[in-house]
Amino acid sequence: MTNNNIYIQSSLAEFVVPREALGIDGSCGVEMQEITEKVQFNLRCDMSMLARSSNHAEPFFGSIAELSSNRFSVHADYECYWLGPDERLLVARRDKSNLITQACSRLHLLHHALTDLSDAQTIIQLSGEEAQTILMHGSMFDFHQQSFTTEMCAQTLLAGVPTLISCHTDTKLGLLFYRLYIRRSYADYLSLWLIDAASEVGFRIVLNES
Amino acid sequence: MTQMLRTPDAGHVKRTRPISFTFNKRQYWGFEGDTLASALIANNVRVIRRSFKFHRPRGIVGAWSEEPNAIVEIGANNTRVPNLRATQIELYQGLVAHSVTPSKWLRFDTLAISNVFSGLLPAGFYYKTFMWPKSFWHRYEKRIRRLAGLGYAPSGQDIDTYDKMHYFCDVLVVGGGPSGLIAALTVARSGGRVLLVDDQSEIGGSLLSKTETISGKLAKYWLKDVITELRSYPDVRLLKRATATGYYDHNFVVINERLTDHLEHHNERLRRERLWRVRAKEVILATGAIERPIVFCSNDIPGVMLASAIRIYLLRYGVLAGSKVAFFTNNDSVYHTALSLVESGGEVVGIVDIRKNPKSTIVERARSTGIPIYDDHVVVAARGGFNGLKKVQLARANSQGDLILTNKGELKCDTLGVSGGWNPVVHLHAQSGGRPEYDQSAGMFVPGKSVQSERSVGAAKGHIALRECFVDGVEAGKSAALGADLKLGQIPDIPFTIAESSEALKPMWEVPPSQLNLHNDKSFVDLQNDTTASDLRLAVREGYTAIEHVKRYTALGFGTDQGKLGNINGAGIVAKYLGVDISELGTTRFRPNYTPVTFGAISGRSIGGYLFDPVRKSPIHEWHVMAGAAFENVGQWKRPWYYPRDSETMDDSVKRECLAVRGGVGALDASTLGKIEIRGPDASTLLNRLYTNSWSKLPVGRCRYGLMLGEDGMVMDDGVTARIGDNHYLMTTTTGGAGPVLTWMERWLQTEWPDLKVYLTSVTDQWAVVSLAGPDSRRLMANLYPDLDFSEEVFPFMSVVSASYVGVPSRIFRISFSGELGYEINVPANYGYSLWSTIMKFGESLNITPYGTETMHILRAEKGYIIVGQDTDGSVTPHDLGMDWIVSKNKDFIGKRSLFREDMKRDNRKQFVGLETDDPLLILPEGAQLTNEQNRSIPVDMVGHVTSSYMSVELNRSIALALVKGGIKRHGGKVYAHLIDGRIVPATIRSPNFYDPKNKRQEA
Repeated sequence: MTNNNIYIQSSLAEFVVPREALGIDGSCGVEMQEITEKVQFNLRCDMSMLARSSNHAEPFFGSIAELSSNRFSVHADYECYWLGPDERLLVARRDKSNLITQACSRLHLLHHALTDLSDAQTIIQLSGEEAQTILMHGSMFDFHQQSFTTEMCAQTLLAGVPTLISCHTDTKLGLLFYRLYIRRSYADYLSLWLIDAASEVGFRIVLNES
Repeated sequence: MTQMLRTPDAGHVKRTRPISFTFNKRQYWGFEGDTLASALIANNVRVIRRSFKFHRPRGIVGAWSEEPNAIVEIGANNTRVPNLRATQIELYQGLVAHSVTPSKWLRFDTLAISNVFSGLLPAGFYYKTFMWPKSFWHRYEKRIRRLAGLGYAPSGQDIDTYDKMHYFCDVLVVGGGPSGLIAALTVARSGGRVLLVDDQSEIGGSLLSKTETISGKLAKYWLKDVITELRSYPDVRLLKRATATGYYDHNFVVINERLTDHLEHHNERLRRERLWRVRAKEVILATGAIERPIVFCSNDIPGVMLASAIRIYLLRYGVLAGSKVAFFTNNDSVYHTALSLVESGGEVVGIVDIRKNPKSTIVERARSTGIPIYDDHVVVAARGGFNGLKKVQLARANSQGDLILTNKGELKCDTLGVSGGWNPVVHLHAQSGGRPEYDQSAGMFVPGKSVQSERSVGAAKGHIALRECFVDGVEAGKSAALGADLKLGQIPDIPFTIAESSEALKPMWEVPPSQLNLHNDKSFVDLQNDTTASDLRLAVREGYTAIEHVKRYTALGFGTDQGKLGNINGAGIVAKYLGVDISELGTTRFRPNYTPVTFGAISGRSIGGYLFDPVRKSPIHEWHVMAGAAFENVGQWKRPWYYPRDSETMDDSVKRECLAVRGGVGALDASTLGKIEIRGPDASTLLNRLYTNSWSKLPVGRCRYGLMLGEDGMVMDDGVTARIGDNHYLMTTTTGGAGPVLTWMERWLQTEWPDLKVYLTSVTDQWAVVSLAGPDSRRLMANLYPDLDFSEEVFPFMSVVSASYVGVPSRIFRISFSGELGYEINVPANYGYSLWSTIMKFGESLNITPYGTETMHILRAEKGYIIVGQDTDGSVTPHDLGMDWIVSKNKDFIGKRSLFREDMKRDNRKQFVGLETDDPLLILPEGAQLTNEQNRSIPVDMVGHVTSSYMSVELNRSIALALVKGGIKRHGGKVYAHLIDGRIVPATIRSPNFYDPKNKRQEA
């Protein structure tokens, strides 16, 4: 028997919906895209101990340990999201996966848990002028820029789905956009919800190139 | 297109845009900007419906949400919306409206006979009359409802969609009148996030019907300038057609925005309503005031209206309320309206003023215009017929206003504008926790002490004069801005308004019934519920002393208008009859919602279909869909229930699937089971404390079944946990238990055992799980993983190995929930779909069969394996389940202390057993109650109930699991199941393990 037919399938690969629908005024208020090329790791450890492990040779640990609550930091090869006092989400491109696992393997003297969640969570990127409004329809969190702006993240419910929402800036356009980290089992439901919420303002789904 | 009562040029309606509409099947014309009520008045339609109890003809009284009479329905079938107020319906082309009334024809209502016998229908009539026999109430109720004509619900599914919005702001301003606008401006200039909501189609409140100038400009130009400035601030949002319906703790205010009701065409992409859930640091209540009527005989005749409504219809909609208008008042405000009417060409036949010789500026102006003023007079009764008011009867009362002294003749008119003063809209203030207080000098209930960060301003505070409203608004804006930690910006100047002298109001709730036999009819307090002053008198006579009780006895304030016109008069009248001051009696409690809110708005988009509730799907879900699986909901998960082929019934499918597993190999998608990674040097210690059995000696690579108890010693979850490494376990939980179990574990770790070095991470979604079961599963596994040895010696029951499948990391467990040889393959979820597809191809030669949760349930029931939550109910211990073997006596664990209390070892506790019915083809219903005796009259002691019940294909008979008192020692004994159809079915108690009791198959 051949085994070559094993392949990766993201949570939204089979998602069948209209790819675009303009809003009532003919505009496209929101663009949605599944971000598939990332690996995600959950790191749990005593961050004060981790900070002590940090030195010039290991700035990686410092960037993780010193993150303020409800913030995330963006680095050349990875992003780090604050999930709790002793919990972080590390996100990197697939080809940089080893960077995280190898760095954490050097923490053998520190009690920690690094768990691969790359397949457990789906990332949906939401951009466009009405992206914030769409979020306001489904979450009782304050998304106003005074309260929630770039490099901030929050764990909340969006349409009843536990979601980590992060706010980013498109440096080229200077516009804010959002990333939603959700459990993959909710991906189908939340995508349908987002499309429904965006039907008034118009939406476009940006496909990943395979 | 004749609109006989339309003025030539007054109002804001767009006369260039005529609109045709239908009321009670007759076509009329109005203009864009009209409400249904203003257009009906313009067309001289006087009667809108028959009343609720006495079926009396009723006309329009108010101009907005206070309207008690003009109740109509619009639309038909599934777009029908009943019980709307004509005063709040914006006119659009093609609008079709009907009276909400019990009779087919308004003019001929045979049930109006009830008016003749009204003496037999006092307050409490329904409660007193329809009590015998008690069981007949439901029959009475249907008829009573039909007679009342309360409207009909839509007949089909709502075609509209609804939405929600969560919003945060520094300051929420409720009400877009003069005080609300200037308050919002004050905050906006201070850089605050402001949300201003107004429930009408135009922002402006009372300014929309004012003739005064503000800082030298007409009110409408001042209004335009302010709105333009407010819109220029990026953090200011103005919402119109938005009603603040509820004010809750922590300055949480719910606002219902109506988005499409005013539009002619349905657009499926537009939401009909949007419910705003607003959290504000500070709230300003600029909700205005509603004019209070005065109660007198026959005050319900069409044509008797609020004086303020006459003013609004004239100045906002350009409509004369009647051709001969009289006023009845105890204050100055109607004089403005009377003068405006005269200026617009209307005829004012007189102003009846309770006060003796009022001398304020406006009164003098009216007097000089030649309007007859009947000071020191009252209207004691209205007279007219179906076509409306014809005249009013005048009289003189004594100085206290409680005795009619002299008949003063009649005044011919077709419209009477009544003003008994003003009731500030204190509803939201009261909902926020405040208690309205009675202001004796102003004769009104005003907001009391604020409980939350809110303040009332303008008319809502009892300040009716325009200048007072502006002063209030600015002050409230400043205090709210400071309360929201803003730095004050440029404070708006108080606009200049012309000050006029005024004379105080003389309170009067009810014109006393005449001893001069002038008239003998009812005086209505609550027009919507036909509650009369004599009903209130009766309630007091019968011993009711609290206004809340009087309300419930007489239905005062029960209608869709929530007594906006009647409640305060009702309180005043009751206070008078009780001989107490109204301030002592107080008001009824103001509760949400201020105006009715549709269920659609409350539900939002979670109203049905795929958005009803979040749905979770396994990585293999689409395969199951393509295979035609039927699904069942397990928590939020969709799980394949069974896979029907061709024309198979569910029973056929399940039989086929059971036989396939017992005789060959079946595949189950087990991805939904909860999975928790447990890592750290104290992982074994944690498991020892959580589970009843011991984990310290479990070797790496082996699995163990565990029972988790609550602190009460009752079973709360179960599952298999595998030791992946020395300090690394993977725990599985039930599908529904994944979240609660993780929370439970974290709670103990964080609050009681922070010293334990253990970290938990949920990996439920990380792994796709394919469960293979059946005697051929080993062969299939060997084909899939040719490099692994699946022999019993190398890979025994309850083992786990890590393996790689064409480079895909996988964990393989040898466990079983079916009683058959079984394996569970875990792969990262993104490989789940293709792995499953590959397995199904590999297994074709072995006739592999996908099976669903129904088959899984039968297979496990044949083995007597419990499902927590189905065979247990939170009151079942391991002893009750016959699982003493899993309870360690040598270590401590959560629930141990409770578990070993004396009562937990009682012999007659309900215990887990199997049941076999005497008739092998009869399947007991789950939940069936069990007794020890077959023929005993009710009441009979229940000794247990059926928890699981199926037809077992393998055993060729029905089987059941049950909890039976003392059941473990009663194997071989009889119980009797009581079916809902009355049958009593005998069954024999036995061990719950029906199949392969020595577990040879799963351990093969």
